[in-house]
Amino acid sequence: MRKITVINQKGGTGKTTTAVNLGAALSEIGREVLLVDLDPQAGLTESLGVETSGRPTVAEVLTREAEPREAFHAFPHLTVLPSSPVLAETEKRILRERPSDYPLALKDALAGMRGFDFVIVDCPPSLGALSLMGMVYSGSLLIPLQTQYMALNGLEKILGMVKTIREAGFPIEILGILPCMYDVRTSLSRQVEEHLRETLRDKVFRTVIRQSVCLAEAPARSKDVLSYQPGGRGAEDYRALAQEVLRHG
Amino acid sequence: MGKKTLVPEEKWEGLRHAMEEAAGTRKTSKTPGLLPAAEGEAPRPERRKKPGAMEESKKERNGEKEKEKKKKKKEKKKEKEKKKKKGKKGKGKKGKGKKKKGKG
Repeated sequence: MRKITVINQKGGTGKTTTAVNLGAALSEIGREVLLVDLDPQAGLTESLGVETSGRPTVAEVLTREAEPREAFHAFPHLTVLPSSPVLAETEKRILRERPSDYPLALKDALAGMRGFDFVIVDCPPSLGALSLMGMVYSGSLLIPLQTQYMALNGLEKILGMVKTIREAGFPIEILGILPCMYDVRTSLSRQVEEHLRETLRDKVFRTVIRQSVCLAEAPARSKDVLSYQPGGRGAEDYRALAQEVLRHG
Repeated sequence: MGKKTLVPEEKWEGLRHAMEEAAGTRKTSKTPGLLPAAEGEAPRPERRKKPGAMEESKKERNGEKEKEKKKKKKEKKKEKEKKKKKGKKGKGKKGKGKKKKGKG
């Protein structure tokens, strides 16, 4: 079972879009995928149209008030562990109750889970406790990065945090940096991508997610981009990313 | 015309450095002497001078201390001399006021 955490403390970088559509692309080729929404804003949950009222979510799973399977919402080859705004309170509660080992909360809650080829965790846009839980759970980070100048500052912060977590004794690796919202018309996008590859070499995915309207439209129809516009640019890019992740081993 | 660089070179250098550290391929250099004391190790004595010690040592260097001593000595001497003079004057005045009377 491969675990991947999609993380970037900056908002609007394409974390949720990447988690949803990478998951969809992997499930399209027959892999069993679990998507974990670890963001109290519940963007992933909403973008796939998962209804959570009256049902347990990841918040109850983290506090062990519910079993993961009770909270799952299943699509063909794709399962969602949804989130809700309650998760923000749950985060504080876990910090109070487990001050010394809160980073292990998700790992403990999902321990012994079977039946999935991939687990993809979508983190909130912060480097707080929930993100730390996500990072420690998978130990493998996928960082979507806008091909813009300001995004580079954020990347330095994440890398600093990775170093700190490693030094604290948690094994963690960077699976790859994914250039997102790539606008081929702008020289800034081209330069950032070129320099990223020159500087960070094999840590940058070959796949680039190009800017595309269909990526923004699909969540409005409660769909992933592969079912919303199967022949579109967005679907094409995420299929390529899925292949690259599979090749990565 | 050359291609305009939109992101400064230092930014990329910083990212390269951060990635090496995150991947564990670079060890951060530690300045000797700044390591925290290990458990059970005796605390290091603090090298702290007495308040005003800096000024004193400066004065020593410049020879100002000796000058001050000399000044003080001079002042004391002057005071002593003044006292002596005062004493003599007093006697003198008394003497001036007395007139020697002739014997016959």
